[in-house]
Amino acid sequence: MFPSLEQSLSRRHFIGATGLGMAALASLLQPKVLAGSRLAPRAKHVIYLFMSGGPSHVDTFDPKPELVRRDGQRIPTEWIDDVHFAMINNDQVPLLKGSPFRFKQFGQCGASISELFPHLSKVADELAIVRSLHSEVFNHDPAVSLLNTGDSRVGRPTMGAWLSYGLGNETENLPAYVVMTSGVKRQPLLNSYWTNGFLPSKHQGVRFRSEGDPVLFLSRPEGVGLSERRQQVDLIRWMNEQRFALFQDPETVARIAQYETAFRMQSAAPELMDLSNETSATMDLYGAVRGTASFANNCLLARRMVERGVRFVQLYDMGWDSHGKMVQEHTQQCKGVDQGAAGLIRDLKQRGLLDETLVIWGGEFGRTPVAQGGGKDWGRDHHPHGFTMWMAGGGIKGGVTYGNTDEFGFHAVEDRVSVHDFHATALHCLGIDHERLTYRHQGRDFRLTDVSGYVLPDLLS
Amino acid sequence: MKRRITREENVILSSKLFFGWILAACLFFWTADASDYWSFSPPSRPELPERLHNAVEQNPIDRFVRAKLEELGGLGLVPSPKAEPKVLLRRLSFDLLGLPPSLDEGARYLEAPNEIAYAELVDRWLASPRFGEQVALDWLDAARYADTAGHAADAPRTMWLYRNWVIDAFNRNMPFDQFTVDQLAGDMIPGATQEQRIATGFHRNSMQALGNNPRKEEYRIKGIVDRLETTGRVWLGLTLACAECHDHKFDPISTEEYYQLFAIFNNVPHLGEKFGVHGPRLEIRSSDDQASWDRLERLLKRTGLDLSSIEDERVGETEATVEELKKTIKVAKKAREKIMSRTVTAQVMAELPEPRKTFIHIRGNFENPGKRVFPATPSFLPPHPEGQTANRLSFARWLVDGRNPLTARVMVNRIWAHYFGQGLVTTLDDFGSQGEKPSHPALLDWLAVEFVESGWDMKAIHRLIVTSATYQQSSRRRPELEAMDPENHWLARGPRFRLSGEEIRDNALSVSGLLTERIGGPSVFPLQPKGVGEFRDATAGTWETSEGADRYRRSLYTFWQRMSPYPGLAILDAPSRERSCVRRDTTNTPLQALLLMNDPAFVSMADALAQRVMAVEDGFAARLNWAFRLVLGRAPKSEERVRFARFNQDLMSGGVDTERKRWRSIAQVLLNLDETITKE
Repeated sequence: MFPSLEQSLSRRHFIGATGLGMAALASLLQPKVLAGSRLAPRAKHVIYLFMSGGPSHVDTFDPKPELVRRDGQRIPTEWIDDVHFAMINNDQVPLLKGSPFRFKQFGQCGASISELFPHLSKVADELAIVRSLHSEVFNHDPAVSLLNTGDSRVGRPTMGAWLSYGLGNETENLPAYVVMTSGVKRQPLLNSYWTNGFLPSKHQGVRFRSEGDPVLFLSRPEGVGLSERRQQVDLIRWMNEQRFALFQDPETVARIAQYETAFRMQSAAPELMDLSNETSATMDLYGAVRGTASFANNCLLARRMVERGVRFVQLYDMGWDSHGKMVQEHTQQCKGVDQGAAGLIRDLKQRGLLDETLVIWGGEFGRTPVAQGGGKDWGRDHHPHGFTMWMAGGGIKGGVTYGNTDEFGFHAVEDRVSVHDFHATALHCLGIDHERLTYRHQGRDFRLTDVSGYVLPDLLS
Repeated sequence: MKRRITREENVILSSKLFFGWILAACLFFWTADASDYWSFSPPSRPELPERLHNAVEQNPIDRFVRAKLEELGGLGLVPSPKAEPKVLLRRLSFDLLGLPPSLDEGARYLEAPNEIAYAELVDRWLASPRFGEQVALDWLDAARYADTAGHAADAPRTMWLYRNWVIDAFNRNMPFDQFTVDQLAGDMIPGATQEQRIATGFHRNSMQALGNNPRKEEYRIKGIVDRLETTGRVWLGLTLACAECHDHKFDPISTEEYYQLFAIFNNVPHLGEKFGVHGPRLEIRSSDDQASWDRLERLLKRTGLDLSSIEDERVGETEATVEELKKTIKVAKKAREKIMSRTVTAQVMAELPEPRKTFIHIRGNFENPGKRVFPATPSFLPPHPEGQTANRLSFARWLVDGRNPLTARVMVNRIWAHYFGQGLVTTLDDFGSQGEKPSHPALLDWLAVEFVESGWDMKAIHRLIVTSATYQQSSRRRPELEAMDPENHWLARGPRFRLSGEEIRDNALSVSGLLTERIGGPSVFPLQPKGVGEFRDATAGTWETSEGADRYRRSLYTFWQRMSPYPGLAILDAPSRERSCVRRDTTNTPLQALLLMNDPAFVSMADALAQRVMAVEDGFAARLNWAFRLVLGRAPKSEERVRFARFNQDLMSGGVDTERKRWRSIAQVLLNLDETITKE
């Protein structure tokens, strides 16, 4: 009397709107399900370089000569009447702080980039630099949540989960959504940064470690051979299918899929992490060193993941939260990511992968054009009112600088770009109409872009 | 400012419509009296719906659930039949004990699985010490219990006496009002016992930056913010945190009211007030040790005085005396150290005799004080007793005086979620306007009133739920149910979801015969991969895996490091306990499969299970039968016998050469099944 697994799958696929587990079930038979309507896609993969803590825009991609000129003066109060600082004391008028770093123009496009990024400067013609991002969210976790999920309240699905849900995976050997981390831990990374939210649980990000086994417990127990393990997984699968026939619980199907992925990962993941076949030219391009953990290594691994079909890779680089010692910390942070990120773009390009990979760089907000603290240990506070991100690769027109902040780099004033616009544009590059990638939860359809967001044609190739 | 846009014609979510919706919600809150909101008006006991003439259900829960299904008649949802006895037995056992039923108990019940036998089982298990351990786990998540202080250094500290207290309170069925007052303000009760002071460890579980942190005041404030957030979440189901920086945008709590609550919690001695960065502690010793300790203290004081008086007077001929006194001091100090090593500390609350002044922190910035405020409770809730200044004790009593519209609802809703995987209000920590509305408002109110009127009897609520027909329904999904109610809000079927990490590990320990059932005590250090959970605090030594019985204690005794929690549990969604958590995620990831298949700890359990099976029975069929009953609570079906026999054969011909290895392989399969790790 119960439908078979196959029947059940097609029924659920047909019903569609029942939501829970639908994609999980369908993907078993049709791994490349498309939930959002498809435009002409350019990119198939995303590598999102997340500068956790908030990189300073006025010291990196948004030069402000006026800010330098008026360094040390009080910021006119009309700028800050309506502004919440996270840590700067609100009862004193803070002082403008010009960037101590020199900017020059690079590439045919003449994009202005600071001396902190000597390598990225050389790929300026590949970048679409957006200087007019803005939000209202000035604390780390909600701001990261906004950038990742389109909502500052923690718990909605992240961009990676949406893409895993919407586009499926291109490999059965690795998860669709992989997260890696590097850098100096100044505030923690939370699991919610790569949550599936209310999407089926197979869409959550899987965090790979940078050293040793990429995930814990990857190696088979001593004495258990590959064929024994295959037989075990087959028997577990058969038993689970019996249970599914009885209880019809979609989580059982997701579990079957996860055991299969786990089995494949046991050989695919060590192969992925093994850099011994990379040439020294490639290693040098990234500044990667075998046997170490670094952002550069993670960038190289991200390319290897994309080559192997992983849909969404997010690399968190920690340590950008420079409330003090700005010069010292940002010099170190930029040095830590510059060559790796530039190497990634060059390497993807030389392998013909850049056209199908969307590379995104940015943090959860920028940093204040006014100083926090003084003396040589001055820093900058959280600043969501105007900040910079860049995109490159699939679907993106390189050599573009878009939008502007005001003369101090405080508010985004020209071609303002909301986080929803950024998401809408990224999804567009992947061939997804952001208004149609939806999931019904608790009685309403949800999207990554919530209820707004416009695609930015100026950024598209 | 130019703006170029593209708009697709096909708009699935109309922005206009949505903003209209939001606007309507805002208008509602501006115009309506806050106490009109459902959760802010006190529950009154709703009348029980008519008993349906053809229904056997006697339990009030069922009458409400039935009535709701009737009300939704159009959906055509009908309740599911009762679960099979062997499925129900396991469900009940995991829910009440966190462990599988023993073979004997299972067999006895399954002989005659009738109402009476079920009720007896419920009574026996509610009285089992395992029950206290099981429900303590939910509470320890909410109480953010951990063995380290959190933040970057994550230094170890002793908290386990508080855990003991929680387990014991649940086992003794302490009424929830007392349970509340003891934890929030036990130290302030006149004549407070040592136990009541240990209970106040609840709010000492907050993270604490230890050592030489330059921002001590900031971290002290963070601790209070955490205490408010936790209190709000656990007792009131409110997200108070928003009001730290601005008037709550959605719930009727102003910033001023937030800091009035803040003032209630602002009097824990700290820093300059004697206790350093750690805050107040109890030191607990045996009576012998305490007597020696007091003696030594007196001696040290005296000899110290003597020494200084001699030195002050610079009397030449006393050099020998000075030497002798110094020696005495040295010996005494050594003896004191020895006693200290046997002393257990407990982090507790204490109250400054002179309350701190509290000011509004403008935009949440403590360095930017605004108006001074005094302790008080929020105005949208029933008033605090008049003529009495609010303090921690009066606040705790106010929470449980029976008139508070939130406390009882919030607690019964969490107890409900323990069984059904989701609450009647699905947002367990948000009963405010951003939270979900209850699926069964009348049932929730009835349970809340019942809870209060029963004298806050927690076990009674647990009993009521598990003896309901609603709880005992089969959890099999049916196509019409899937289409109408995939998340089971209307309760036309029983709950089915993955066991918690603790339950999965404890189950494996139990069926493999390794489990140590000792209750309480200091945290233990089970096996974990080298280098994974090393202490961050350089002075704290290394993670030395416990030897012997302590390696196999129930999971809730695992030493909990907030910044690198035990991976065998964290991978299965145990929260880090950095903050209060009243609802765990239940994820389903490949990392969980790898954990259960490859973690040396789980492999050793499979190995023990293999040996156990081989020791008890002879012959493949008998062993398989026994292993199935042990792990799944049922005999293998004939198809399953065939498949497992073939698996065994394949292993043999594949070169898995010893019987023990083959049984280990079978045990691994059994421990990894969806059926094994799921409450059905």
